[in-house]
Amino acid sequence: MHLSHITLRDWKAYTTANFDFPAPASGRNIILIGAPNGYGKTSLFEAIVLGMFGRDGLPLIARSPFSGTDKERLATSYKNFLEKALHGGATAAGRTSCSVKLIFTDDNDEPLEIQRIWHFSDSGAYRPQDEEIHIYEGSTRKAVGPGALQGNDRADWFREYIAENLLPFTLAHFFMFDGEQVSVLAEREMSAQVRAGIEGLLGIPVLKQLAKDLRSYAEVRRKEAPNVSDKTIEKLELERHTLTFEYDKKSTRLAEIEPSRAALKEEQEHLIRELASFGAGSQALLQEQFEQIKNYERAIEDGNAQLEDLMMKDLALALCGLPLRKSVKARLLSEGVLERWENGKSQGDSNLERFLASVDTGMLELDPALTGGQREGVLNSARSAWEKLWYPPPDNCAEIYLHPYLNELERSKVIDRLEELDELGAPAIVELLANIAANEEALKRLQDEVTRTEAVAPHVDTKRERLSHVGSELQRFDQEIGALRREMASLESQIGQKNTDLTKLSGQLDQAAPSARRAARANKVAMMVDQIVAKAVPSQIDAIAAAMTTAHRSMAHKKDLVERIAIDENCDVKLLNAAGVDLRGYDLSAGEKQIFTQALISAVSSVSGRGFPMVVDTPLGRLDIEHRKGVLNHLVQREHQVILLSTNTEVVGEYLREIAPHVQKKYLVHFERVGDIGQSTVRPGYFEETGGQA
Amino acid sequence: MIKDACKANGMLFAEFEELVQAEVEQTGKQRRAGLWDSFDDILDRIQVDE
Repeated sequence: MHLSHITLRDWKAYTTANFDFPAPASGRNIILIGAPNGYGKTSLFEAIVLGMFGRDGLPLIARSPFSGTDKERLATSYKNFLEKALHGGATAAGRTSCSVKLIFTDDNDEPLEIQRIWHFSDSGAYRPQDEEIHIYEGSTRKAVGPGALQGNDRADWFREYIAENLLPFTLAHFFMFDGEQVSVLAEREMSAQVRAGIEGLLGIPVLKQLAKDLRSYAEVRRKEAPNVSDKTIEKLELERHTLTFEYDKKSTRLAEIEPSRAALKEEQEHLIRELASFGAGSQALLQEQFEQIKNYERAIEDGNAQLEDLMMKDLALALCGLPLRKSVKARLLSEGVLERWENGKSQGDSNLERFLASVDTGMLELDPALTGGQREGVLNSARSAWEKLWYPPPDNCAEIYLHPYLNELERSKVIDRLEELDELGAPAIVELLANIAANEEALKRLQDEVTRTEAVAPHVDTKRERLSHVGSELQRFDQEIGALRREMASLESQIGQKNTDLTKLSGQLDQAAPSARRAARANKVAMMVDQIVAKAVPSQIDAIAAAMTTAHRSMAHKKDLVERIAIDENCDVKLLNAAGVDLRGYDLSAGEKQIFTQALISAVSSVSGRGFPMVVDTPLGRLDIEHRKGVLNHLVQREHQVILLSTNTEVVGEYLREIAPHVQKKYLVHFERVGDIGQSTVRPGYFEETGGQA
Repeated sequence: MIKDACKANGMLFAEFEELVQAEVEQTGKQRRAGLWDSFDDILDRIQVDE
């Protein structure tokens, strides 16, 4: 599938604009659209994203100040964005709407057209209730739509249609992105990105929703079932409700703050670059210092996690005191002696009668023969001697078992654990606290140094203050995110346990009534879905890691040391060198980080098997010179269409020559100002063909 | 993988597909009621190891 046509009307600086793109042919898949900064290149990217996804697409427009899933904020941002998107001269000319039309053509040459029209009042205020979406299928332009559905149902229908026929939104940021933002993405939680990418690939969100709905359904049907008065199930369901509620609350909070953190991170990077430009040589120093700050923050976070772990697992046992632990150990040792003594004695008893029988037989052969009484006397004497061998019991032998539930191995494990606690003691905790304090102290010192480094010019004070504020905000977010993740993991495991218990109990009560049977079956299927989801992500990890390695090799510079990319079952990603050392722990240049993220994007889009076009704004963004050719050469190898929106300092000169044989069509955006209003127009051509001027 | 999971739980893959389809098709406000009806219908018919 490729994007074959775009029409913009009254969209940003474009009064009208039309683009026609041919289908990719063998070895030729690149569409090149050139525009200097501010001419309307990003406006085109925004038109493609919002044209496809409408309001859902807003988070993909990275440069806009939108973030988070806060619906009200998103709605406000959508409104603000659209009111600025309406062409400056439209309302004065009596035009109160703007539109984007996209035509995709599949491999059978059948078109699929999507048109969105946004309406405004005479004063330019956006009217959400009037927003229109039209979809036409095939060369006969057969209209398709949600029928009589309204509101959210209507929006859901379009969302599902676009996901099924073009691209699900969960995969969109792997196909449509701003090159400048890729480095920001690289700073985000990589494991979460990988997990979200793989889950999106496999449609896992649907399966997770199915499991959730089956469980809600089971609860409803269980309540309807007659003669089911099992309070245990109700209690379990209530407990699971509470846990799920807590989990959802934390998950919502996490979803709220992660985008804010990413926005702050971006701002921090921006401020660092700005501040660094004030003093020669200070850029490298600042970057180094900020890397160190990150390391300290990580160490503090790890220290706090260890401390929490100690408090959860060891503190109660440690607080009960050495004398009590010693006495328990001594008791367990004496019970061990008792067990061994009893075992020896019992083994001996079983052999005693055999021994006496043998002695008795021996006495019958004596000459002169012994009387019966004499033989009995000898045997009694031997029996008595045998008994005396076992008494008194050995030293340190308990009289009875106080801990009969422990076997020898478990007893030894308990003793080992108690001994570990003896070694723990206050000094170990004090050392841990001292480490945390030392790291905090070092962090503070470094932050002071950063402040001094930044203060190379007096007029940067405001930015410096802002940077310091952003730094502490980021630290606060990082701590909160870390805590939320730990709490969510614990809740998840508790919910899992409740689900297992419920499935078991539901099965037992399944004979009660049809409703109970349905509930039991729903719980059973939900458990099966859980198992599928748990196995699904790991099943794709190898494919993603292999595709990432291939993409990384094709893009990276020869001096890059990465040999292989590995992803573990938690989706944590490692860049391994030939010696198997993870290079992510070391200072990677901005270019290397960007290549890494480009490799992930490329891997997900490739493993998805979706032949959807890739649309990249500012493709060479912050890439250093060494990696630019690598990225371009990788993009031309893609079988499907790639639309590059380039400034006049990116895909030009030697870079343009490098990919020239793969370019199918080129457009150049022109810009002029008429009064206060900017006007963008588009014509076939490119920078170099017009002397480098647009 | 899903087929294996269905087999291990004594369920037909086609029936599992029906449940997923029901989940995908039911959207919006009437979601619950419609989905519950679909679940009733499918869960009454299916075989699953119990």
